[in-house]
Amino acid sequence: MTYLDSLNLTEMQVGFGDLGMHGSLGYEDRSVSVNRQSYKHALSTHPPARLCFQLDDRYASFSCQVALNDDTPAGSSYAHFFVRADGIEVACAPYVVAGGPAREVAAAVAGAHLLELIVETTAWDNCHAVWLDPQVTVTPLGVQRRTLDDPLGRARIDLPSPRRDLQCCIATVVSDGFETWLDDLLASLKIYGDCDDAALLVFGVEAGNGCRRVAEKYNALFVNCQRRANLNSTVKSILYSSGQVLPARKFICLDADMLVLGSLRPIFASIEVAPTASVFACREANGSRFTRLDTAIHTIYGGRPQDFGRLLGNSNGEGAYSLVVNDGIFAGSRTALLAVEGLIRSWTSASAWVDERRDVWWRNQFVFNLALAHSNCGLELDPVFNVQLNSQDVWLERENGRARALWQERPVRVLHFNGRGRNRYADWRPIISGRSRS
Amino acid sequence: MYVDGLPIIESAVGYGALGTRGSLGYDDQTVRVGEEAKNHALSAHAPSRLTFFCGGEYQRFVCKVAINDDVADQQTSADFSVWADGRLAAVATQVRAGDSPREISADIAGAQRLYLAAQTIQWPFCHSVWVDPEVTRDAPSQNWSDALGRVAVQSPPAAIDLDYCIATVVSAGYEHLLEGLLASLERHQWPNKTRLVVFNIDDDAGCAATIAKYGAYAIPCGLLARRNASLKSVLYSVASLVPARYYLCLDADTLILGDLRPIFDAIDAHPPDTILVARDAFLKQGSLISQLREHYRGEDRDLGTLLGRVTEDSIYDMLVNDGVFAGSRFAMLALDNLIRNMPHAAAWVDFYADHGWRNQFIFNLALARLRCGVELDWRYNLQMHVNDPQLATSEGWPRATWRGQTAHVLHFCGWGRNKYPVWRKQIAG
Repeated sequence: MTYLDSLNLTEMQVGFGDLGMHGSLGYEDRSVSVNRQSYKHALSTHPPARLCFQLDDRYASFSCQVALNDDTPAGSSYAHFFVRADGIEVACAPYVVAGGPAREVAAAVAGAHLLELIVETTAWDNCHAVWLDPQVTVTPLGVQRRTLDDPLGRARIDLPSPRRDLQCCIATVVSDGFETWLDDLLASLKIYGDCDDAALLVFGVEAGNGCRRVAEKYNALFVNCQRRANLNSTVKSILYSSGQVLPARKFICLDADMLVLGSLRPIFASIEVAPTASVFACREANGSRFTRLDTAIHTIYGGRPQDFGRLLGNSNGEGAYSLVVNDGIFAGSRTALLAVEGLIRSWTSASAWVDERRDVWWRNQFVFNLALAHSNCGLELDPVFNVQLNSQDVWLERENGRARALWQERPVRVLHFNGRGRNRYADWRPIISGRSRS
Repeated sequence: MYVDGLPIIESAVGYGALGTRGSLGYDDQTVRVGEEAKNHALSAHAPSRLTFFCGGEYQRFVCKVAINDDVADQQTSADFSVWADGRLAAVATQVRAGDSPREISADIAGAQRLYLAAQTIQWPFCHSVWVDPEVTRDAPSQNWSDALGRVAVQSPPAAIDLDYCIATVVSAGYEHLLEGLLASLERHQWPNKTRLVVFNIDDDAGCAATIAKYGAYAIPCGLLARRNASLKSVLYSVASLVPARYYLCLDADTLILGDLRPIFDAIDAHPPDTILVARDAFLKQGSLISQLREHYRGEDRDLGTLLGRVTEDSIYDMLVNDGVFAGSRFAMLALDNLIRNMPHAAAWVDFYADHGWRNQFIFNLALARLRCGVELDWRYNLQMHVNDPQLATSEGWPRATWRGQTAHVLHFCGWGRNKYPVWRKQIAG
């Protein structure tokens, strides 16, 4: 066994102070201490941080714990920890919160020449992230966890094999019986989406070969999921976990009942220039009917005012949050999505609350809204990126052989056949997706 | 001539019928705005569009826009836009029930068709009204002035064919800052049909030489107000003078260190009235009203003086620095329109001779009222008066790192003005 602090450090970048080694925090004359225990071989890396170590194919596994140092007030910050071997992400500990227990991290690094330790956060102040006595050994790792439950316990996700960093990913979720919807979505994305360089990710819940074949037709990565709850639309909370499944820098998540009619590239650009914590979504019902979350919980989700306290523990004005969104399309940096997912996962009552009303099978969306409100991280997308046909009408036409939809005289970029809008404009769906030329 | 006397080519309204000659067009009601009947109003419930034939005979379109008096305060709002032969000529957004009517004035010279649109996301009771709209044959004044009356432009620029406008403003004594900005802009790639436009106060010869050196488009302008930092508010009105699809406005004391094309690309991701802008690094805490008192030497009653009726604007908490901001033509025209509809704003900005940046409060107030601010990351406006990044030059390229991230725009504002002089000279060549 070899501690990393004795290996050759080839690159180092930290977001504040110095790299802390041998028990030092690296700034403010402080020491590493987690749950009142000191760690002589800790590496203290205030994010954004990246350390590179030369392994030279001499080790088989990496392990340590990660945490935020005791001097960070509980709950005031968090960090995501990533481990890469020769550029491939082999382990990830997202949303490690100050005051919480240290989290185990272990990874297979056999054959690797370069080991990278990376820390990111969107809560920079006092983010005293520490790797507790990280070490490498020649002993291979035991059986690794290869599944992940989504934060609302809807499904168990079979994690794909580790892979390299990607720039952009577009994700969706589908189950048996929705193959045609998936086909239309991916076809329209290809024709109109202007995002050929983005990786496609399809979560299939209890999905058979039909869904898999459609995904393969578009070179999408198909990820198998087993349901852990009633199979209904709440299962799309799987998309909240996208950042744990693929190491892409930017994500756009789409419902399968959508059609893309315009470029999605501005969304990726916006992720680039907005604060890293931002999560982008369109307003519910394309309007300002809902301008407070405490109105929406009652009107849309059949909830009560006291549910804020039940879900959050202590509510802090989240009911007054004015950006009430539809999660048919949402987007953000990986850092942002991991934070939202981690926050939802930390709400232990959320899953039961979602299941409490079987006649309101979209309560996951309220939990998503609550996470945006709690983090104050929502940014409004132009409504043309999610024109919701359960409440909106559009004008469809063909221009130069391409389909076009107008909403309020503006070209629609994404049509959402949600709720009562599911079967509207049925003749147009095959035309938009190219299934029909007539 | 009132527009109701023009031939109407097409009309579509969101409810009822098009109301003319004082009729609301539905519910047997009449147009009343500010408790006055309006006999030449066009009542067009949003979403609505009206197209009139002008035959190229008119120069300007003027009117007020409002929500009819019969609608309860705050119940709805509408966005009004005026188009001349497909060119967006004027915009008034977030016109709310209970607000004073908003004035619109648009150049429609030579237009064959005049198109009036009203949109809403609050359809119920959106009784949107064009109050006695007129077209005139009067030749437009040769003098253009910005919304806060800082400068006058005697010769509006000839038609420039551009999609993307990068704008800044400079005056004598600041050539060195302009040189740094233009040199740093030149290092980066821009979309096709991008043009750099520089407002040159008093047509200073030194600044003109720098502008010419970098092939930027100069707009000479005469000074109408005190020579201080508030002059940069001319940029709030750039869309009313320079036609383009997208605008990026930069203070002359900024340096560009990274690719800014994603800012232009991001504009289309947000609602059309969006202004992208970074938070103020110094005024982090509190609301608009608290910063009015503490930073802008104002009083609570100033909000009423500036805006008329004040609602939730005072608690708006996105306090921004206007050193870098961007938006579509729609958004920038809306910003210009609202500030032009604050009749006391210019006097309020000039009230204290020793407080030269009150214009920035007006900008913040406009964003609060229009609810149109969307946050840019601090990397796109790293304000040097409160931040001290690590600077380096690598293979001839400048680089600034702060909190572990690379800054794209450095803003040498306030007491950060004179930081890192040697490094900055290297950038300016």
